[in-house]
Amino acid sequence: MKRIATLSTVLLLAVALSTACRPQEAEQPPDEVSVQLKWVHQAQFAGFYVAQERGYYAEENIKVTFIETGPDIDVMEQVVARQAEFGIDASDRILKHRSEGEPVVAIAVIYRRNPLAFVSMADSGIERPADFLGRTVALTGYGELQFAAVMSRLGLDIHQVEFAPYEYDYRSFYNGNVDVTSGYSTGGLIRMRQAGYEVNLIWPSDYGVHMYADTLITTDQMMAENPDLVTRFLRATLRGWREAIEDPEAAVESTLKYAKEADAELQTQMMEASVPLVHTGEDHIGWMREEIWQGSYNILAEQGLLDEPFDVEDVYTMEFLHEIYGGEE
Amino acid sequence: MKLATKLIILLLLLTTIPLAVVGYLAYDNGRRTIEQNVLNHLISTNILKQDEFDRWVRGNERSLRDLARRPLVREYAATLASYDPDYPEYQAAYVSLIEDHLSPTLEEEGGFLDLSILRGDDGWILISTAKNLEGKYRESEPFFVEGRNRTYVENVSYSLSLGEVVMHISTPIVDREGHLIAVLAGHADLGEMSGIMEQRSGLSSSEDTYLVNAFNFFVTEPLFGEDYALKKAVRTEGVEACLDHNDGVGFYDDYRGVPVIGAYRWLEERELCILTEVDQAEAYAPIVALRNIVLGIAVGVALIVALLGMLFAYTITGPVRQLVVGAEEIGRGNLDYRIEVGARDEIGQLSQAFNQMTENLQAITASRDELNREIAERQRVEESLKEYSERLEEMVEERTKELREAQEQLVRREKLAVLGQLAGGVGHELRNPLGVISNAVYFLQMTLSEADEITKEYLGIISSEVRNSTKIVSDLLDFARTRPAEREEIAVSALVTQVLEKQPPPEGVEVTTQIAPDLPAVYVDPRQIGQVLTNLVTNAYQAMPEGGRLMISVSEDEGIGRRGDKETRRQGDSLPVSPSPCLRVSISDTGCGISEENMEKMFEPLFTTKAKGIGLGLAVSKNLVEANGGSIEVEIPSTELGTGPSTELGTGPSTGLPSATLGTGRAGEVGKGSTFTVRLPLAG
Repeated sequence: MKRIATLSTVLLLAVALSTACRPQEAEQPPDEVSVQLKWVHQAQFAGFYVAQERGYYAEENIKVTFIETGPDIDVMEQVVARQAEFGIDASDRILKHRSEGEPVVAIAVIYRRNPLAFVSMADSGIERPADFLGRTVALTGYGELQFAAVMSRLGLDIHQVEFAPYEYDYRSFYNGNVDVTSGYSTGGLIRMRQAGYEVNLIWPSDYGVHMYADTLITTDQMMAENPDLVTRFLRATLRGWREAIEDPEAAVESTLKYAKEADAELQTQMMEASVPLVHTGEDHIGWMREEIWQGSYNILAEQGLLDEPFDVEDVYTMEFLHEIYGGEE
Repeated sequence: MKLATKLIILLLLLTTIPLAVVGYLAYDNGRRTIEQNVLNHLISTNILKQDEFDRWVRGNERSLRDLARRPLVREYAATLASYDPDYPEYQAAYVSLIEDHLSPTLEEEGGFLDLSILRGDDGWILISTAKNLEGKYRESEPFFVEGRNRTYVENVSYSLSLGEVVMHISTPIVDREGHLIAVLAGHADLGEMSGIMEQRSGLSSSEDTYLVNAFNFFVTEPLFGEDYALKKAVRTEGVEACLDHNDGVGFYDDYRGVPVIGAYRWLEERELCILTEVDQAEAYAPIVALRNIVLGIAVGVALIVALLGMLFAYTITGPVRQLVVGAEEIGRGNLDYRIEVGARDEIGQLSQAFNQMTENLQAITASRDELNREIAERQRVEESLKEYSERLEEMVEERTKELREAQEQLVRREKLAVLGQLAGGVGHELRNPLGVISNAVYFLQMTLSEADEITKEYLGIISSEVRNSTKIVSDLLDFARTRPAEREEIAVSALVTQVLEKQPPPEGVEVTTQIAPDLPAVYVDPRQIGQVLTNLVTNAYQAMPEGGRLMISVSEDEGIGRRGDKETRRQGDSLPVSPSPCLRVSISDTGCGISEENMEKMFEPLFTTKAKGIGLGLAVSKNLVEANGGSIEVEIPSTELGTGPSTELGTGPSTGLPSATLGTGRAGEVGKGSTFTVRLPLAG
């Protein structure tokens, strides 16, 4: 009898404690973070939307705001100025800014294959970088570096190439005034295919230029001050991406809730193009390899784009990926 | 519960339980066997496919290694690696490599889509059967990095530049001293690999074998998917267990969400998971069929048993029900009921015994009934005896009284007869002197017309008294010697009218007649009946000295001798009972009436309540009426009515008859009144 009384008292206490604890947990306000996107809302960021829509951020007690990028906004500046806790930017820009002494660090890579390709018309006979010589080439800012790197890698004289201004609508490329243009498999190439053009793709990665594209970055301070938040944010983000890859249709659906350009077909194609970039068949989603970073660093160094040499290991960290994936390689 | 139900349930239980147990055991056993067979099949399929896959890889490795070890290949590779393309040696080496080595190997050995030789120091593709690859770098690709040192099988990955899922096998090309010259790389034909996975035993249409990489992505196309390789992830129970580096089997939902039986095997060397699955629905189809057969048999047997049970139960309960019906019938007293005895079994014996019992019971009951009847009879007799004994004294007394009365009457009649004879004689003798006196008085009255008043008065008195005496004498004579009736047909109305004419009502008496028209004639002596009616009317007048009403009504009657009220029964007793149609003549007055005790003596001779008269009128009337085949009776109105007979007549059945009123006097005081009724026989 006495034992029962004791037991029930303990039980009651336990219940009281558990109910007492719950509100405390709930009272803890969610961490608010902003993510500075690299561009406007589109399938390029589908994994983030999936994580948001399915409540994975909320599960980690994080309240996430996505910020689109306009012409005046620079992702790096926003992150460095702590206007956004996280940002998405190309790996070469991270390296460059790091060399300028800015405390930016890559914590994971989203596009592990670079979607940038050099494009020529299928009947132009331009199939390899050597064919670029004597031709007119139009490049984006991101394209210039890789173009130079490829030419340099192959020992081709970049001065034998004529450059023309880059056009987003590829008008000059279509009418033959431009022989080669840079284009993204997740963007321009879709539009070209839609326009009915048959093209040759010359990938920088075939010529030894491997550079990560969309990379998730934060700052040294953020990592030092709140590593737990970084881990939670990254965990939710990678989960979102994983599910986006596994179910691209649902990912497009989530994307369409954000995208201003609510063209379901375009977003679907963009998503399809993104899948092999995010999941390559090697390693976990988000995983980074030292040799790629080193290769990129070398390219930038060769091109003289780095202010100060630095240890490449400073520009990215596997800390959080290891924590999330349990240290597997 | 009914016996039949119990029997059926018992039989069902006895048959279905063993059947169910056996069926279940068979089903369970079959299920296990089939399951084990399926699992064994799946496991062996996995092992076979793994072997085949390994053999395919080893074969590719071997052919690649063989190619790389060819002295000419080494020589040409070294040439390509060290000379400029413009040199003729380069061209010769290039052509020989393609034509004599790479292309034939590709065509003869198979397993590869293209073969390339990469420069050992930077991964530049020197030569390739796929022309568009030449000039590209693969310096960071694992197959190049690893292929520099050993024969290497790369994991399946997505090639952006090829836009497809690829797998490379590579091996180093070294010179005689063992220095690396180049890397020979083959782009494995994943179609062949998929072909291996897709080969099916043919036993099952849902058998599905596929490879999944360490990151949960499909590597080969599953049976129910298209373009899944490296695009779709799969996180089924089987895959998750497999990716934890386990081999095993499981029952789970596959990538389609369909329940499957699956076997998985972790290929450590390739870091791949091989899974073979088969739909549970298909795998269990034979088990389901077996179950259905067992159930079918069970249901069939149950039905047959139920039917037989019902029949069997009926053979038992039928006779029992008959017994029940019999018992109920006998309970209701139907001892003639017998049960049909069919079977010769115990139930038959029971029926027989029942019938015997009923028979015995019937016999016993019959004798008992007789006894009861006798007892009842005796009791009845006893009761009447008792009643008699109780009433005996009373009866004797009554009888004695009756006897005494009869005796008295007899004596009186005797006296009367004597008196009659005497009176007749005397009367006869007195008639002549009386006639003489009458004549004498008449003479005196005529001659003494001038005599004094006193003389005249006395003469009147003498005349009157002589008349009275003559009347008395003639009454006496009438009484003593009744003349035979001379009957004829005559209407009563004529008689009544005649009487009333002769006897006009005195002052104060109102006479009413009610004589129905179309009355049949009566067959009587008119003089005698006229005398009777005269008597009665005269009596009525005399009963109403203060005045009153006289009512004479004539109506048809059903018959003479009809029993009247209690008051009139005494008179009726002595009358001949001859219920023949007759006329009924009632003469009612409102006079002083007749007392109860006088009514009995009313028609006896010498009875009178009048100051004058000797009391022979009614006796004579009675004699005359009876002589004419009629009857006479008197009644006084019942005291409850309180009024005279006229009232009764006024409301009686004679209402509506035509009536005539005689007399002018006012209706006098109404007394108790009396009614004489004369019934006269009809003519014919």
